Parts: sequence; structure tokens; C-alpha cells
Amino acid sequence: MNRAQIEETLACKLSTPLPAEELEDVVQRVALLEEQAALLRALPLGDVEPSWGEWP
Amino acid sequence: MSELTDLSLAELSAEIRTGRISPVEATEACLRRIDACDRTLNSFLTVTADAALADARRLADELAEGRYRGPLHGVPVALKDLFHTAGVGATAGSAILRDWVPEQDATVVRWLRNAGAVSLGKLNMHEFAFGATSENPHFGSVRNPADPERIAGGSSGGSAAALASGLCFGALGTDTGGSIRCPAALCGVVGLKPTYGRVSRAGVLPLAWSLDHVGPMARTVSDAALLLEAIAGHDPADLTSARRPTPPYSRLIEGGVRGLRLGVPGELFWTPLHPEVESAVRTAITALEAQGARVEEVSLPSLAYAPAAQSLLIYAEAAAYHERWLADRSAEYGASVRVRFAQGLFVDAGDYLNACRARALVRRDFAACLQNVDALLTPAVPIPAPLIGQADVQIGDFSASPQNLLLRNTGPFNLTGLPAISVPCGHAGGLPVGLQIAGRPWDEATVLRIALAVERQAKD
Repeated sequence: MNRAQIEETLACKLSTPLPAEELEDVVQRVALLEEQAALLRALPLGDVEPSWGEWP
Repeated sequence: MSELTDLSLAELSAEIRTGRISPVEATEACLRRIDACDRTLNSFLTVTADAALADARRLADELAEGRYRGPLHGVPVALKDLFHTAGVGATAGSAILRDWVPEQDATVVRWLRNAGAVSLGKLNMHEFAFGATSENPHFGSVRNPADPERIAGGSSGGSAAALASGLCFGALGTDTGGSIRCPAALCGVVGLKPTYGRVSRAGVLPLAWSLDHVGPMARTVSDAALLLEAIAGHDPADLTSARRPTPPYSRLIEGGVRGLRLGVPGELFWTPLHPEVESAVRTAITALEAQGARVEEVSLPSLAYAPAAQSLLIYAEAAAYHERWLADRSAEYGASVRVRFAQGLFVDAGDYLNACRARALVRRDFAACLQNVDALLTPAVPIPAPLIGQADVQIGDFSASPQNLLLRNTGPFNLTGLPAISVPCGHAGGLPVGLQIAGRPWDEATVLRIALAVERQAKD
């Protein structure tokens, strides 16, 4: 997600625009989240279900 | 500390039961101590002195009539300010809830009161529990009793600071990534995150539903066990509350560690690590070995992706809960938590579900490991308390923000839901260090038993 998309989304979701410094922080944080999501997408999750389930 | 507030909860309890100290004397001693110390510490947001004294008098009358409620009868405690308290504000450390007054007590607050505890008031914290420093832009930072220029840790920073300074005999905290254990470690007190489902979260403002835990904080392991006995148990008001009997923890913690198998995982828990923290923790582990425990290295391969799963879950869930306030009142958040909530708005559903699936793998990995050992030992927090406002922590060539280090070692046990405690085990540069002990699901008793052995060794 690029900076413009992030800015556009935040304009809809926040009542007050973020100061430039905070916006920059969010852009970097979203990039980190995307890296983390990519790491999980690469896992062999197979038929693992997204539930807590019982303790094995 | 004065003589009375120097007692442990268990010691005070014995004095109250035998009539040598009254609940009123205990409450008055805490209120005097709060008056004397909390201008510096900033651990309390609300002190309910009149209500506390009225409760203490009523409980003293009950004792005089021969009605004894149990070990918490007449014991002054305090509550992190995100527990609902009937008629008393619950700000969650935020400006948004500054004027909000709940109509009912949280389940655990009600159970503590029923057990005879006297609430002294509400404790300062990181705003909305979304951070590990308790640097609060609305109410001021909580200061570490060991060095007031340093953070108390968070998010339950007020709870840890108040306990360490003798302002109360027990406290409740919450823990979504380490918010009980981190401040406990940095302030030199005991903090226990029970198994997910062991303690009700009903009436507690959530941060991330699938990671939030409620737990006791205290000056000693025995005190934490007594508090856990009072707050554990099934609560129909919390859908995740387990239907399990509450063991008599305070009677199960003796017995020592001889014959126990203790695993020391490598991986992310030890690198980077402040050298004096490592020294204190290794010394404590060696002492457990000397007391008869068998210590062995264990491997948890899933730790490589646990932080990613934890991160996606906490940000997505936190943003979901706060979405309405962000849309209406985003300017009222402090800057550092506002960017975290905003970040959470960008987790997509598929990635969130993958994080849930990854959590299932991590749980399996930890559960398999805990079939071979009784508990896991790690440093609770890799660094001693940083200075208030400190932007970076340097360990050798490694540099990171305190926020990134403070919860690194505690987060995996929120993801897995396993019980974990921080118990003081020494000092680094004069600042407290905590050993983290994590156990099998529902086995808080063994975790407390090992912690008691560490505590006794550290006091020798």
C-alpha cells in the first residue's frame, strides 16, 4: 500500500487529519505490517484452522 | 516504608485475622503512604479515600462480629484504571474516557470486594493499555520507584510502582503483550499472567480480545497466589472464561523445585540482551539447578514467526475496537497510541486469519515442548528500565526503541495463552530484573511454585 492510499484511507477513518510526522510513522508501520503478513503467508499453514481450539 | 506498609499481603492478612492490625489501620497507613509518595510516582489516578475507609470500617465491624471472609479480608488493594468500578471513573489512561463513570464493577473487582479486599482507587497506566512505558500524555508518566527518572514499564505501570513503594498490598493488571510482567520486572515486583480463560475479562476495557488477560500483581509470590485464588474461576459474563475449578494456589506453591524439568529456550529470548540482565537471569537459573531442578535447553522453532502473528492480531483487534472513537474523536488520543491504532486499520482480513492460523501452530509447538519440561525460563524483559523519554536503547552494536524491546519476551505467552510470571531475580545497574517462568496450560500452581523458589533464593 503506498503513501497516497494510506492517506486516503485515513482521511475516511479518522476525524482529524494526522500531522505529517505521524502520517510518516503510520506509513512506515504499515510497511512493517505488510512484511509481517508476507512472512505468515509464506508459512506451510496447510489445513490449519484459524481457531484457538482445545489444547493439544 | 513504614512498618505496616512494609508487610506482605500474607503477613498483613495474618495480623488482621488475629486482630493485631485492623482493616482501618491498614487502609489509613496506605493512604498516608500515598500522600507521602505519589506526588513523585504518579501511580494513582484516583484515590477513593472516603470509600476505602468506609469499607475498612465495615470490614472491621464484620471481624468484630466473628465474620471472616478469608485472607483478603480488610486488605487494601488498587486497580488499574481500565477495570470498571461502579461509581468511580475508569479512564483507561485516556482523555476520551476522562469523564466516564461505569455503573457496575468488573467481575474480578466484584469478586475481590466479596473476598474482603478494600479498594484504594485506580492506577495510572499507558493510554488504553497500548504501550509498554506508561508515559501518559494526559495524566503524566508513572515513575519507577527504583529511580524516578525512569519508566515503570507498562501498560500496568501504576500497579507495579504502587506495589513496589508500599502504597497498596496487591493490585490488578492486564496483559495483552506483557503489560503485567514488564512493569513487574522493571519495578521489582511479582506479576502473573494466568492461562487465557482462567480469569474473567468481563467489565475490563479490551485492547485485543484474543490476547487480553487479567492477572494479579503483588510484592511476593505468596501474595500473588492469594489474589489469584480470589479472581480465578468461571464467569458466564465472559465467553472465553473456562469452566475449571480454581486450585488452592497458596497451598500448592511449597515443595520446591527438586525433580522439576525446566526448559531454557534459545532463539529470540536472549538476543539482544543487556549483559547484566543476562547475568542475573543465568544466576537465578543456576540456583534453581542447585535446588534440584533439571535444566535443559529446548527449541521452539515457531518463535521465528510468533512476533509477526502477535503484531497482526493486536493491531487489527485494537483498531476494530477503537474504530468509532477514531472516526469521531481521533484528536483526543495521544500521538504515540494514535499512530498504533491507525496502523491497525490496514490489516486485511486474510492476513488477520493467517495470523490466527499461525497462532495455532505456535500453540502446538509450545504445547509439544511443554510435554517434555514442566516450565520454560527466560528473561522477562531484556533491558532494565529506560529513562523516561528515552528514544533508543543501545546493547552493544544493537539499537532499538524501548517499546520494541520491552515486550519482546513476554508476547509469545499472550499468543499461546500459557501462564507466565515475572519474579524479581536480581539487579542490573541497581535496577530490578525479572525472571519469566511460563508453564503448561492451567498449571499456574507449578509456575508459582518455581517462582517461590526463585524469590527465596533471591532474598538469601
